Amino acid sequence: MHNLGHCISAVLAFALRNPDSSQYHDLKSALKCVSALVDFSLMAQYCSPTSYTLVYMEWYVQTFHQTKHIFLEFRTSKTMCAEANCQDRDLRELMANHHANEAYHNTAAKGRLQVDQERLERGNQRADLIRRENYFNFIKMHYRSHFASHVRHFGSLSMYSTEIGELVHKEQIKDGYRRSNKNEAGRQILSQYGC
Amino acid sequence: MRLQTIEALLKTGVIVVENRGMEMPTSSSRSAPRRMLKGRTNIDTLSELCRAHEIEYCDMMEEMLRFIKQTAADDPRLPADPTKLGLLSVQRVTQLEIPVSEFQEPDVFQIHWSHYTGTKAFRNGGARNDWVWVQTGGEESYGDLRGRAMAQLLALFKIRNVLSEAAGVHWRALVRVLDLINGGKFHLASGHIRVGKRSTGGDMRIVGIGAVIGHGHVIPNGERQYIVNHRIDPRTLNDIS
Repeated sequence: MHNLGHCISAVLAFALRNPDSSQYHDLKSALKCVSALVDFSLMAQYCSPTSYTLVYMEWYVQTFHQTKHIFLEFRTSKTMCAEANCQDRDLRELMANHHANEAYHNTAAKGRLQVDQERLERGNQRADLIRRENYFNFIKMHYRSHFASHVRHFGSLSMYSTEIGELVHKEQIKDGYRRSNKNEAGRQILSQYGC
Repeated sequence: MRLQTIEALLKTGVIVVENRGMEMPTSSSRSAPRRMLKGRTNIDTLSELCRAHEIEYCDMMEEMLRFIKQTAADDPRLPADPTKLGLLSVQRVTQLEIPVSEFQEPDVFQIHWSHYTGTKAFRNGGARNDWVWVQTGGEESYGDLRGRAMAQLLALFKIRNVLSEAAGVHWRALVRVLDLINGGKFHLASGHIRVGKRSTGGDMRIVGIGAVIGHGHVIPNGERQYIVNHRIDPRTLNDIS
């Protein structure tokens, strides 16, 4: 995921390079959303944030929340998928009954047209349900809105990163040992780092 | 955005910072690692180098002469005569190590390994001819890229002036510089800068390896166009956006 963030924005810009006039607005929103998220994550890695970068971070979060609706249809849970399938089934049965009653009065061409319209109607109903019921209200998304205030109160986020383990001390100790005269090296290593 | 470290500002003379008492020192005692060329091959001449990398010899010579003229004041040790230049010994290399300081941490360096393998495979994969950033001018040039150009490595070599008493070794890179599309401005729809290969040729440049400032990342966009990925790391994001 970490590496994906480095290139997803440019790859998406390439993938969505030739939109139709009908798709243009949606694809622009998608790009804006992803770019805001990536910019936010890059700026959160700054070791020395300033008031300007914090304003930028807040703005990126705001932009993300304004444009995230474009991805709602892809955030379908299993329960929601089952619910949508159930609604789809009910609708299909209802339409089939209605279609059976009218079948004697319609020609074959009219019947095909009606089936197409019904399929489109079912697809729209499903998309409406998914957009209505899906959400991005989960903890990892919510955290982002607190990042800027957290930095203002407690300092840079990189200080609290759990990605950095004890292994990084190895380099410091080795470096300190190399600079010492190898006699009571421990004290010299500690004094080098001001301990 | 354009955040800068105190060290960078000190270099440009914008601010003066004094160390007093127990304040943290603003400059590091450690020296920055140097750029290194690795993966040496046999010693050849320029013509052999051109043959190995499938580059036109006259184009190469033209670029060499142009480079020598541009840098004559600082670096007068390479002869400007094509005949003499053709006799100089050249050593091809395949790898350039570029130390790049971490963003906002001038003491910490990460190494970018730029490879040029020509048509040969790299570790049983495809050929590897890396994209690099080349510093071409001041911040006001090259549009929103602020003086840096996206280029593809075409050759890395050392050239030694054996004809002069003050024989020096010059570390050079031959790159293909991409042209800016739309004046280097951000494309409104995609939010990225686009660059492209020149259709008429003449886009090769000889640069000192000091001008190669790091790895670049581009996404092919059609046959001759590329999208510059400026969101690859915090430093590039800060420098370009």
